[in-house]
Amino acid sequence: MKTKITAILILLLLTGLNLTWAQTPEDSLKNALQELKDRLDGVSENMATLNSDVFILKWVKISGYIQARYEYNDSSQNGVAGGYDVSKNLNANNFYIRRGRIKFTVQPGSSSKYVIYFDASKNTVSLKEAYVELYKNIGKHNLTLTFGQFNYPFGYEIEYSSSKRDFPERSLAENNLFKGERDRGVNLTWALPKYLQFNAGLFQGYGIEDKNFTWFDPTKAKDVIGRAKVKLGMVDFGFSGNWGKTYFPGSAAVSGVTTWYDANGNGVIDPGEIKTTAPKAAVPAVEKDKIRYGADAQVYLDFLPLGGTGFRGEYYQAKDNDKDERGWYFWVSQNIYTKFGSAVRYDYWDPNTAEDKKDDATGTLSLALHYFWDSYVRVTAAYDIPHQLKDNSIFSKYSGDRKDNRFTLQFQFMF
Amino acid sequence: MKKLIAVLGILILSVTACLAVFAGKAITIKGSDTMVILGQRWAEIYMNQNPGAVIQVTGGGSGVGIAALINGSTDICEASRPIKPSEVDKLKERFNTTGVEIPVARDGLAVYLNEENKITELTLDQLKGIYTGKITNWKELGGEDAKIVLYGRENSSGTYVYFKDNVLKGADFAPQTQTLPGTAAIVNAMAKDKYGIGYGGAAYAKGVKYCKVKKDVQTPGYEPTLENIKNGKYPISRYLYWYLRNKPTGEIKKLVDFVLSEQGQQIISKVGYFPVK
Repeated sequence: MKTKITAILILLLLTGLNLTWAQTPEDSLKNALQELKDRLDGVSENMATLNSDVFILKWVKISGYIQARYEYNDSSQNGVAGGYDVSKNLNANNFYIRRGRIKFTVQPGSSSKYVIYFDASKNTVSLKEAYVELYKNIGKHNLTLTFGQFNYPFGYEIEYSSSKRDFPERSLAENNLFKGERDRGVNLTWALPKYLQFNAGLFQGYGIEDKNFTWFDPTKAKDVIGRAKVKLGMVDFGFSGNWGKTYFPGSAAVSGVTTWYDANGNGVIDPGEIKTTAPKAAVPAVEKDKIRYGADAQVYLDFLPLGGTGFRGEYYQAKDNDKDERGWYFWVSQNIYTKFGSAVRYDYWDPNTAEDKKDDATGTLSLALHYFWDSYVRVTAAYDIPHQLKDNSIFSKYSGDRKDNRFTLQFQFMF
Repeated sequence: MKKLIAVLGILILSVTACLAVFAGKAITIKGSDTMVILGQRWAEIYMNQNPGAVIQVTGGGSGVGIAALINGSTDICEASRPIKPSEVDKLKERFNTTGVEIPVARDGLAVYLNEENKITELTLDQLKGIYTGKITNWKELGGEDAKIVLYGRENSSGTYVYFKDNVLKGADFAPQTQTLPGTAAIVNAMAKDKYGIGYGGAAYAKGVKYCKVKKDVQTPGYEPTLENIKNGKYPISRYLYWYLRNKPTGEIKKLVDFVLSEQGQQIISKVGYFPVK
């Protein structure tokens, strides 16, 4: 047995020596290089797969912002004053999420784009935008076709993101005429990007926040909306128009009803114990003209050492439900170096310009101050002072002005 | 509430005053990878001559630099492409300005080949065909029977945008284009890959050869030399820019004046680009 083991050991030793003799330094280097090359090939293959995966990921862009807010209202009362009825909601001083937005954009090339955009605010989640965009460049002319749910191509304020605006809310005119700022439709944009842009589109006409027509249009005709914008560098201006119909639902006929109740229990129905409601005739549904015109201008000046100064103004004239409406605002914004910004705006809105409705206009003075914490966070303190106007004149406040001033403190994170 | 307005007013004034006092700080320059070396050279020499000045220069790509200018995280953006109208709109929204554009240098966008590649010149149409994936083998261009390996820049790069707009005429890059972070990385890859093709700033071309570029089949091919770029014979040349948010004042104005001075422009030639003055 010992002899066998010794023989095996000698054989192994010899084999080993033989191997060592056979492997010259050159061979060893070649082997090492080959091994390294194989490994590199493996890494290159993995890199190619990784590159292709990352390439697809680059199509996708996620952006969004949150506006967490505290509001203090002059009109607030403690809920205790409302007694048991919580629905009266007398208190308007609240912490709440005004906007919680997230947008997914997928753009695989330069010819098309997919966008879906959600809002989670207060206690609801809603679809803000969902559209497909197609692009075609002919020389310096850029054509864009947008189909789906997206911003109305009307005016300046609508396209100006709430994440960038100096004030917590848009103007009263915009809020009344274009609730939700978005609608379903199709829009064609032709642009010479540096100088000119024209939009023309067809829309449902009710917006995404209409309570009656949440997704469907009761009228066959669609709204036509158009906008022309001119960019001159320091000065930009635009004109917009909206022509359409608004549907007003009718109501069925109601029969007259007579009821009586022996309230005093004397066994006789006294005259005061008989109640009669008059019959109502059916009211037919009607379509009424909806016309809106707008003009806007922005001027950017760089004359103060503090930073840029922006002047923005917009005018709205509208006809809705046989009423003429008018609104405008003027807004001055001043940057204070890179960390701070300030702004002041006067906002006028008259929901009915008729002679007999002379005291229903509102003028709101708003002040805002921003602090930019970093590239993502903006803290805003704003104060709104609305006034009921007498004779619709901005110089004459109504004597019974409501107690409705509002202070807003807002923290915004945007990415 | 009147008190609140007064408090807000006082706050605005206090902040303004504080910022005016603390306005002096390091100057940050961010943007084009093509321009990083140039920016660093300017900064080094400027800081040597102005001991109190502190300048930080970083790359990331022209798009990244412009985004930093818009979000306020850089004072100066270096860009190897002009700012887009959509980016100017963002500046208007955030800073109420249209920005200030200063062309600081000129560059010939070089097309690189491996030194062993037999091809020496290509037309603009051929380059477009190669990078859009229509021409995939060197044999189609008179070279060896080997697959063309495409190297390019990331889409945040001004070089990428310039090449796409001016050579591909807006068409998309072929999906097989390998994107690399910076022209230096492209040059490295080209030096190792016999069948590769890449593009980037002329200043980085070490260990690879320039491919001569022809406007069309009839015209001769030219390399991106100072003479060819200045006389307009080289077909892919561009300005390199500095972008600011506002009209320059204080230390930033001094730096801009230095860059545009005779000394500043001489530095451009030493780095490998071409002066504008």
